[in-house]
Amino acid sequence: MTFSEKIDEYIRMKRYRLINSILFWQDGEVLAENYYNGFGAQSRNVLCSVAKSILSLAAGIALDRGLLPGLDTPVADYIPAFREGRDPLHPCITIRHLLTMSSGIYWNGGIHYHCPMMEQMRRSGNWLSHIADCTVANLPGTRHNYKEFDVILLTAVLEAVCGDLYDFIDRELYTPLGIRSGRWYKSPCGVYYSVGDGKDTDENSSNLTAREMLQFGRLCLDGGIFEGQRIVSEEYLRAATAPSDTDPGYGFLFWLGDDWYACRGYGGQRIHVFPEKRLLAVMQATPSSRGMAYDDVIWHGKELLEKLSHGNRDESLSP
Amino acid sequence: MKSDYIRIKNARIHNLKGIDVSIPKHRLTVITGVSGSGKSSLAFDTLYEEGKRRYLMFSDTQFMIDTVPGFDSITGLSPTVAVEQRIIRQSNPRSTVGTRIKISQMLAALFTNYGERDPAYDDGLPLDISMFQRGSARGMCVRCLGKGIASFINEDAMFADQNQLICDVACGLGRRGSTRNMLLEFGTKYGFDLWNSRIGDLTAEQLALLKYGDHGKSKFPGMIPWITMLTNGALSTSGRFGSILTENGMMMRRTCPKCCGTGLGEQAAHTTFHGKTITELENMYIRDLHKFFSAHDDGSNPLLAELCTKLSCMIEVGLFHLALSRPIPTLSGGELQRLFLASYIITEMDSIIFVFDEPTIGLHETEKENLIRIIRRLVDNGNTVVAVEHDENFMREADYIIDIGPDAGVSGGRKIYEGGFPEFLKCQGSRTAPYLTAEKGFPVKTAFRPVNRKKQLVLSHANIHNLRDVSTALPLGIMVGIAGVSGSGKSSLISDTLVPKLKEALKSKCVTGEAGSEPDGAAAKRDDQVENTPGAEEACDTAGLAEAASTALSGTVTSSQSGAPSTSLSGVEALRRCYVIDQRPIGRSRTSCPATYTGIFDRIRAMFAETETARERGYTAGMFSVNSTGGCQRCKGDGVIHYHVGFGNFIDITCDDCGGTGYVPEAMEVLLEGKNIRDILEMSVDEAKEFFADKDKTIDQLLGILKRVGMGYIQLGQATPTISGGESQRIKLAKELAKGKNTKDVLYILDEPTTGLSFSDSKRLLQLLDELVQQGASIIVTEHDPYILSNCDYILELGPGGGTNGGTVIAQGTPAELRKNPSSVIGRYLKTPAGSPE
Repeated sequence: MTFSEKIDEYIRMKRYRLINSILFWQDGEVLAENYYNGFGAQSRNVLCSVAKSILSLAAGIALDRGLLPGLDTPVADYIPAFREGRDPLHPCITIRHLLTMSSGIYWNGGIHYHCPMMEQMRRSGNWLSHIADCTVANLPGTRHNYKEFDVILLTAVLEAVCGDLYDFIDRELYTPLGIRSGRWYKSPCGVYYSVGDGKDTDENSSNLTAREMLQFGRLCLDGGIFEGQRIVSEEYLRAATAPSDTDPGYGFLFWLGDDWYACRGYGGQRIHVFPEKRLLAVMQATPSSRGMAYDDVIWHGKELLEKLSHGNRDESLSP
Repeated sequence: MKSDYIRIKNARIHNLKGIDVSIPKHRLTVITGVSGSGKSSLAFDTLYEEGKRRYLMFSDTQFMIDTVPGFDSITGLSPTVAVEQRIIRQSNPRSTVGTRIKISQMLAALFTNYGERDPAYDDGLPLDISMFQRGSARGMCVRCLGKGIASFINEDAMFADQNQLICDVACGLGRRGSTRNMLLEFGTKYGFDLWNSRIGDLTAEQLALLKYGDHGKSKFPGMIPWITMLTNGALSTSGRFGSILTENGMMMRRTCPKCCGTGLGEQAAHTTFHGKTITELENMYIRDLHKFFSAHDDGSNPLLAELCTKLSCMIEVGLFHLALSRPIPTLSGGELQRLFLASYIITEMDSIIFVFDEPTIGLHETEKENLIRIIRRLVDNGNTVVAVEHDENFMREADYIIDIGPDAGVSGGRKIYEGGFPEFLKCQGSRTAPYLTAEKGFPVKTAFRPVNRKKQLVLSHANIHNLRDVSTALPLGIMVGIAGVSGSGKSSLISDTLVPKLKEALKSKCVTGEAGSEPDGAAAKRDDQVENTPGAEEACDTAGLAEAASTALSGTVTSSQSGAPSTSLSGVEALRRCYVIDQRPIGRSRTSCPATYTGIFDRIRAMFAETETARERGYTAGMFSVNSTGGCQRCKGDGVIHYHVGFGNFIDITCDDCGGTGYVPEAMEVLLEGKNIRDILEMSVDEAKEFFADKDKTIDQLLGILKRVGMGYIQLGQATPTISGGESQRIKLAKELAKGKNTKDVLYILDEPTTGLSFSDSKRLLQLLDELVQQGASIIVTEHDPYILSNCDYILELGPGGGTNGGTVIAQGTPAELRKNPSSVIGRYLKTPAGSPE
């Protein structure tokens, strides 16, 4: 049995019916590329919060280009509603806090895009003004609290310095990587928000193919260089995938583990990077209301690969 | 087989000794007996549990797990509902009268469908019910988080004095612990000296840095952000530093500018019904709200008609003085039960068995009459009512009496009497009946301690809530009772005026049992707490919200200050200390219990750790705590696994891993004179006192005092959520008394301390209180019970009615004087000494 078949067997055994694609890549070679539910190499699947990590690299590129002076620049410099003294802590919120989800802005609603706080924001006429009205519950930079508000503020900051944010991402990141995505959702009040307006059947969304997600993973693995071209500085990537002050399991919109870092989206969207093994795992799934995760497939694949020496994977896996 | 009785055979749960009882259907039955005698085991754990189980199984609404029944048979059951105080106590701190009785949802529906929207905020999309619920993240104002008020730092006032030293800014914040260290470093970096530089010396740039920090380059975040954080910003409603700043005009609490005080999001805040926002309606007294809706009810709106019906039921059960926004945890046990009673009356069912737990608690005598009338109506409509009750008048109204006893715990659990009330009075074996007869009766004081006008607390211009500029004197050195119907202003006068003022004057010597107000070391701890903001935050998130809701919605923020002369208190110099002992639960953790609260558990665990077995095996005291190494991993020390099976019902399944002990097997193997740690926790105070008498003096002494406050029946390990408010209060009192401090010139403030106590236990507690006064202490007790009031030296009565009809002092003097005072409402209910000619 090949590695690919082993993975397939595992997914079937666990009855993971919502997984649409799984892809393992190591050191230049695709080891498994399985599709389910009628999906194929050209099929696009929602990114969900994987887009946060993409946004992180966009911020890195803006920093590299000098469009942003530094990570510790106050957000208020770019978003007028944060200069109006609505909260005494507003002047303290910096871009670094947005990247590490530690702005301190009050959040009570979990990690869903459909969460009640988001719904209230969507019904306000002006998203940024609404977020500026939210009380700041923690001193910025002291507590990690995963929330959409910080990401929305980051898109607004980037939009202020990069011009149209989607055009910027498409030009600086997607095109060099060969990624063809739909435009990101833009709210009526002019805020780009990659997960759209919260409706699952959103045409205007940031859907990618599994292969496109893999390219993004390769860029990260290779320290910001893709096929010889420098896309983002190695320095930024290193910082983005290092533990932040407020949460050792989170970098700059990247999730971190012992020997891996990852882009993770709701419902099982994953780009897992194992830098030392030069291993990448990509997974796409149809999100369900239960917010399932299938990370065990990735750990299982990694373990299988660890048992084998390079070159004779398929033979030694034969029954 | 048709029967007119519910027959219970061989009931043997807890301490019940295999008793048979027959409860007449469609009648009012009172189960009585001393505390811990087994009344509740019969009424709740046998009758109610089985009635509920059968009904739910029959209606197929849920699965049930068969547990070993604590009886042989019960016949004649029909659907059973119970109103148990201890269950209701566990409610969500954010729930309010309105949310509990579902009127808030109806109001939200009314506003969603019939609200008039301000065109400026109308986004064209339909309104949604959750937008009117400030407890939901979808509805709450994101600025004030549903509180309706927000605090602001007055930056100008804080930095106005150009001559002040930097260390003196914000009332000397820079001199304190961690702030000092951060500021020293910050000053070195930006060229100013914490101790010697003055605000006027700083350049504009330095001042900006001091105020707002340098964006994370230094540890010091800037004065304004740091103070915001220290006072916990918008989430805070209390806290010492915050109040110091407020007193000095550097911080203000104002109506939230975003939601205009409604606590709701934009659309909801700008939707009205006949000119009122939903928040305004929720803040009205129920009586006034009923008037408002009645005036607009033209019969065309079914929601409005339904609201009026519900509100009138609440008025009927005597809850007219509450507002829908009133938080449930601030209600008395009696108010809670009546809230439930109201919802049952609304449904107009018959053939239901109602089981009540002391429904008269917290009721004024006049209100009791009304309650008895309502319960009588339930019975007349074809329902069966069974009440566990100590109240004399309630018993007199009963059709049938069951007396359980004679004493508590192992000496109880027998049926002493079953039958009508007149014969009950002749029952010799009962511990209750003798108090009901004229021959013996409850002891009533005849000699009252004189009032020393040189030694008294004088309160002037109390205006909070419904108080109408009350100025009065509370004599010290005696026992003072505060009387008045519900909502007449007793709590407003004592808890909301006197206690805060005493706290202001006595500072740490006024112990209220709130977090962070312990007399010793609390101030020193404060800075450490601040350092640990993330964790502390968490606790404040929820605690603060509920607390804030109560303050904001009761309108204390502005109304009390508008033009009226400010409240003052004098005479405090006669006091050394003050203990406010209220009915709030002891401890917050699930695993806290009387043993942990009183501190004896630490000693018991140490005793276990000292045993030979424990020493051999290397077990420490932690092995004997469920919160430490000794706790069962699966049930986290509960002994049971708690399943929610819908409809607010839970099923507890004994945890297999620990066999229901909550402990790991290793801990259970260690014995202290034949008893393991679980055996000890299951002992009642009475049993434990015997067990520890020759083992540990401190434990013995504390258990002795617990016995004296009437808590002999309680188990050492009884879980906090099942401990009633009255019991909590008595345990707290025992803990204070056990410290053995000199009680001279100490003031104890109590709130219905005999709640839930039988006559004989009340008598013992009264004796203890009397001894305290004898030793030089002062006691102020808020009370409804005519027996307790009759045993005070002096009574201050508020009234005449509740809510807007109350708020004045209507009578004061000795009980004997009040009996003759025509202005007094309670006077005619006060007891006369047995055999007295009156």
